[in-house]
Amino acid sequence: MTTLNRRDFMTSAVAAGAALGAPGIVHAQGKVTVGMAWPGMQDAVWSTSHKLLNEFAAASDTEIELVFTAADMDVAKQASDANDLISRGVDLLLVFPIDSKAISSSVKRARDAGIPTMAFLRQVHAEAKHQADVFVGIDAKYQQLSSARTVFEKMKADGAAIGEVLWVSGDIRDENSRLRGVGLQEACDEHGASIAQDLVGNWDPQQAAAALAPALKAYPDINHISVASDVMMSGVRQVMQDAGKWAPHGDPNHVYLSSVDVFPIGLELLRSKHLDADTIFDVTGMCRTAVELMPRLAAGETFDSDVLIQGPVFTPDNVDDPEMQSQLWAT
Amino acid sequence: MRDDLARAKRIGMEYGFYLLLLAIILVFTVISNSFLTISNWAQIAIASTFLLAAAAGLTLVLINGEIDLSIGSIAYVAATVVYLTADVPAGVSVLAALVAGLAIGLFNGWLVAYLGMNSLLVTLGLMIAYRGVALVFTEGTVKQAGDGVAALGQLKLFGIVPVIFLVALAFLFIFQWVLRETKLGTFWLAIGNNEDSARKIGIPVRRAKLAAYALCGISAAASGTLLAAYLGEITTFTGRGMEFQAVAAVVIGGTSLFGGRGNVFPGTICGVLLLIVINNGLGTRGVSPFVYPFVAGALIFIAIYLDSIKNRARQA
Repeated sequence: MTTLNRRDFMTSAVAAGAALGAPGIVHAQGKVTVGMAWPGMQDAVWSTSHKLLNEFAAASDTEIELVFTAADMDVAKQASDANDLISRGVDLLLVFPIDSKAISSSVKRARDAGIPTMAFLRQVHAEAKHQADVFVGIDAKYQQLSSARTVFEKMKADGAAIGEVLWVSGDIRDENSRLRGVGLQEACDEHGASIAQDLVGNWDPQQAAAALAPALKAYPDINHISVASDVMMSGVRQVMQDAGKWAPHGDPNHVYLSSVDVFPIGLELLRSKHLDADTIFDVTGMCRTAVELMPRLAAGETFDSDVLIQGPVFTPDNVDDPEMQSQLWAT
Repeated sequence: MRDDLARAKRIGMEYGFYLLLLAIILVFTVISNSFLTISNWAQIAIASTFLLAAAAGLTLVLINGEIDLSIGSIAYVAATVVYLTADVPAGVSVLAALVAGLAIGLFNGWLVAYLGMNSLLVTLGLMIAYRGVALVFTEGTVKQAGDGVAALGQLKLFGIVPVIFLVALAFLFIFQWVLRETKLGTFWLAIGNNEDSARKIGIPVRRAKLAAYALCGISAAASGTLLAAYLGEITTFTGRGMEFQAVAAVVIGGTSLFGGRGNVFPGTICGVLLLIVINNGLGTRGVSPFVYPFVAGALIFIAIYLDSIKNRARQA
């Protein structure tokens, strides 16, 4: 598995090619038509990545045409979209899976048609029979691991007890959510902590609130909550306010919070010291790398491993550093 | 003996659901120390608010023998209006959102009642279209509600009872009053029982249906507005899946999917409460999150099965 830090992106094309152990760079001749099977446009990451991919494709040395389809979170429609793109004879299928397992059949159909597949942001499930030719995404496990690890270290420095953690996870069908859970578990293992309860928020603040409220009753002494994405943070904040557990770091009632993505609400809560650590979701780097790899994959180049982007951890202490600020995309 | 059995069966069919709700509350009270507490029930109230508001109007549409699957998207459109009017006074912003819901409800009602379009198919299509409209304005990103609206979401009566919950309850009681105490309510029940007969006896079927859809639009918009007020922001998940949860809650509460029978209070309120209480109760016990969909799905299946039996008996 290849991981790229945000700072490596200026040379990401070279880094990806070298680190992937590619047999040699092969450039496609002429125009490359890429069929995009997207889950929808309802999410900031989905719409932003669509926009950035188009921008990077337009700026690419190779002429790249992106043919876009959106499935509106319908697994069956995404399979149908992928089929249409394959029938159309695209040079490369770029899939952003809704369902990490179900997409495997579309990958097979593309392979049968001689079309390489790039999975974007959400990995094809490890147990699925047919895997994409390359995965370009965020190192989801690292995101939660680094965020939670930062909080555990802070708790240790503060002399706070490290015990159980409440885990507000994303969509149970989502590989990113699962991997973030694995990352949290690793951080817990490192620090002798355990996950008290998995609360499925489905990336929805309302559902996150509905799941967290009773859990705070079940675990009244909990002092660390780890959230799979800032997108659910408004719901978490409301429930914690209602439960009288919403206080900034330094206040005796403070509950340590770790999260991922660094969306505007995350920045706001880092500055107010309610949120203790937040690992960025580096969409820009991911889109740039995906576009760089498109002509090579379309030309038949093979890749030995995935390309995973790692972003830095934002904390109340570094949130306004110019270098950190320069990496924001969702604000 | 046979009469007693028949009576027991009838009582079971009519009141079994309420007994089930009571039993579930009792079980959670016994097995969880934190379940029957004021603060937990305040949380249950908040969690119920958005579904209650949306389900209130949907009940009226279902009683007419029709359906509106676009309510979740109407909620998102209304929340988007709250975002677009974030700079105006909170009252104006809320009013604008409700007017948007009313306009969409009237449009849905016109398509169904006046153009005779199939309500399931037309609102299924419009569900996607309305969400698309909201996405255009929000650009698929999280948007902030105005400070005034966000402040409304934090108000609590006596420091405990969330005002947004009381607003949702107000919708339910008003709709129940319309259903039981006005001619319009009688028309709806008659239309749901037999639309042709209702037309023959002079009931203005089209206007009555239009009114039901209009109220449904307002209540869905209220749901989205209350959610925006509570969270202080509008996310792309606003109202997503709400239509199916609301249909489930309304049917569990005893309103027939075939029309002609049902009520907002106590039926729909208890239907919503059942779904929320199960989620909350399992949460206070730290039960696996994968259990809830199974339990909720089983309940919905049973409710629809019982509704089919009741409907067959009624037709016989």
